[in-house]
Amino acid sequence: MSLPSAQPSSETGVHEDVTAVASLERDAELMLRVREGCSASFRILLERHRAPVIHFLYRMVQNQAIAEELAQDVFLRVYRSRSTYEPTAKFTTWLFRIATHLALNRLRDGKHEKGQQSLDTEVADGIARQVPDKVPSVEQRMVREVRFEEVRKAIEALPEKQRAAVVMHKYQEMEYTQIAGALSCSESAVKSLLFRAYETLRSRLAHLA
Amino acid sequence: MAEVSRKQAMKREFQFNECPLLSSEESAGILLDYSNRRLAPELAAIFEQHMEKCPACRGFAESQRALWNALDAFEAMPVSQDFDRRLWARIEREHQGSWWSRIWNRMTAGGTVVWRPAIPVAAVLLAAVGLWMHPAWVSVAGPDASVAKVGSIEAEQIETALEDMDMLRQMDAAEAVSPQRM
Repeated sequence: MSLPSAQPSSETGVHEDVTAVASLERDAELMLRVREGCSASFRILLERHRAPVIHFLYRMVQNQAIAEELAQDVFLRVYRSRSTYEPTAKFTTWLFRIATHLALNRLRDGKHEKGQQSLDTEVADGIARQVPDKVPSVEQRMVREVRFEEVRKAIEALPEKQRAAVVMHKYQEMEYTQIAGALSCSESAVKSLLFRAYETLRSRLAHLA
Repeated sequence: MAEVSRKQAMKREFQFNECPLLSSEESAGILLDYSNRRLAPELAAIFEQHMEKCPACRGFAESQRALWNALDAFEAMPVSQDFDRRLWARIEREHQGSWWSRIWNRMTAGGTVVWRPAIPVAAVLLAAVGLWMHPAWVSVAGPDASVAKVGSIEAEQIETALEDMDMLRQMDAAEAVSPQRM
């Protein structure tokens, strides 16, 4: 498998490949093409799942730099598994299973640093939290910051599996079966986890409603 | 079948604080799906009929919807612009890495260690170490000594082989129960 360069525009032929494989809708088909040596397919998978995976990991470990580091590990593992990949389940379930595994390991190792970034704090590489285009007033910003912190802390306080289930259900909009696959448990266990997690969150965040 | 039982559960009338929809796992899905606007329209209509007579479910749905909206405040951060560049650099480094690190990485890809490919390698290494430590095993010895040694070696080898087969059988069984990949 030839390695694509970091700059797609400088790579001869990659754009043609990307156009050709872009029509493939199913991730599993793309992954099978990666197995055959098509680096453009891996690029499409990365493009498609990069943000969801990083956002999931960010809400799990609550630190953007660590979330990106873990996301790199996730995609590296996907890439390493290309030769043995078999589409036995939905690609996203497999992908989030790897991501969940890494996130839970990270949390259990206690290596994560608690996110202390305020709304106007910029992370190392100069990016800020996503805010609407319309510039908010100071008061609106403060209210948003308070709400952000309260929700972040409430989610952080959940037990790890409940946290993963809520993040996948609420923010990644995943189905129960997919969450069950990612957490290696039954669908009814997921419903139970979610029910308990939302119950806790409802009581902790009742004042925000 | 599950949809039918859901419909039946929702059509029943319950008293305040007695609604079983608030306690069972299956109904937890109905309540959450309705509150988060993910329930199929037909089921949602039935649930709304049920809620007209069930303040407990109505209260749950209202508070869950409020929570759902409140959770939106936990916004994600945009991804670093050099994320892809860093990833490709790591892949590049891996391609240039040592042969043993590539084998290890392939074994650990997907989140779990895959031991099966390591078993024959370990067996060959063990045999090589054994031969190196006991060169007499392969040298020609006197008839009496040879018979005694071969007898004990065969017994050990058979025992080891049986243990290995046992272990492989257990691993196959374990893999059959929990598939390696979802």
